[in-house]
Amino acid sequence: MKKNRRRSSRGTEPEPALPLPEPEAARVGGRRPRREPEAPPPEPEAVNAGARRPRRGAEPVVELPPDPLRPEPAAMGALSGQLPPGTPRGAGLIATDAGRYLRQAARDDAPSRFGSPDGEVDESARRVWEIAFGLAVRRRFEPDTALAEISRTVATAVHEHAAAGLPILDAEMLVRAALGEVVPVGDIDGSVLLGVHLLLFASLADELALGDAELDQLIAEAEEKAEALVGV
Amino acid sequence: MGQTGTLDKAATAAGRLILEALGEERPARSLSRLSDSPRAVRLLRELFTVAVRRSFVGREPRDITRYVRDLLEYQALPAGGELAREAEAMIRAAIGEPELAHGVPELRRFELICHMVGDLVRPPGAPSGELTALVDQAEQRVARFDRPRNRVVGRRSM
Repeated sequence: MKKNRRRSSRGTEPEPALPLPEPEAARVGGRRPRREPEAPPPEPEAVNAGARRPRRGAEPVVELPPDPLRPEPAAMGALSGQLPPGTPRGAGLIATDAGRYLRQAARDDAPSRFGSPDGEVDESARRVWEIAFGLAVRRRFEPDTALAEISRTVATAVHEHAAAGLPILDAEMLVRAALGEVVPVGDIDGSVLLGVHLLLFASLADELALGDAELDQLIAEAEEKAEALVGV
Repeated sequence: MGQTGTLDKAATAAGRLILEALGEERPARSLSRLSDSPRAVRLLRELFTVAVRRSFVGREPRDITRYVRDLLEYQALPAGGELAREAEAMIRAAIGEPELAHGVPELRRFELICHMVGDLVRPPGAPSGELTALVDQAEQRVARFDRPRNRVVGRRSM
């Protein structure tokens, strides 16, 4: 049987949507479980506020001087893909937090094995990871690579990072999109995007057997491209 | 575009129901009305497998992506997102990558099967004689998989 060619020849109107429940309703219960971003835990201040609140009539809280041995707390901002102000960029050197996190992920050394970091991630970090993912994909595959080869690599990567529960076809579509193919990548969940960009990058770096210098160079290139995009 | 000449050739009542639905003006909609009949739904699943294998086995796999986009656009359904990925997952699951469709909800599976069977097996997608053969083959698959010795549950209980 040949592929149906009736759409040019049938000349009838397309069928209206089937009288089935709304897609939203269909998703309930049956969807593959995707990790929802967890609500941030309450601030320790809020949790202990009641316990630490001075009782009525208690003496005022005494401010302690800062402990010189205690390190300064990390900046409250999100994990960023932007170069810190005043930092010179060295050729082939990773310069951003996002880049360093990606290197950790590629070396299986990242704090989270679920694809996304624990804390906040800003847009510039996402951009760096997406560009790095695209660079790795295009280094690994040609645009006309057989789909079976792409599927095999993606399946291996998804199984390697099974804890992240990445949907395999979404991951494959993102790889094919990075190769320039027109594929359905609309409405992929943000956490899935992040997981694919980080974890598939890690698997591709492993498959390409990138050395430390090559990996750094690839990530630094992604950082530069991301920076250039912002500058445009 | 009636299929009435083929109705008496289907061996089962479910087969006749499906042939009748396929002969109507809007086959996907007509097929979806068979959701109350478990036997028809069962047969429809096998018909989907047969039709997909006859259409896509041995072809360039990227044809599946193109076919799905073409079908969904024709049906005025969103062709660039999750529905398209689920449709591709269903087709590829039927031709050897079963894990791809594990996450597709039952109701969505049925909806997509109705659309794709309605598109792939009705004329001019398939000549009416071939349509009967497809339904016949699907009926054979149902009979084969529903034999007691092929039932997983039956084997486990032995």
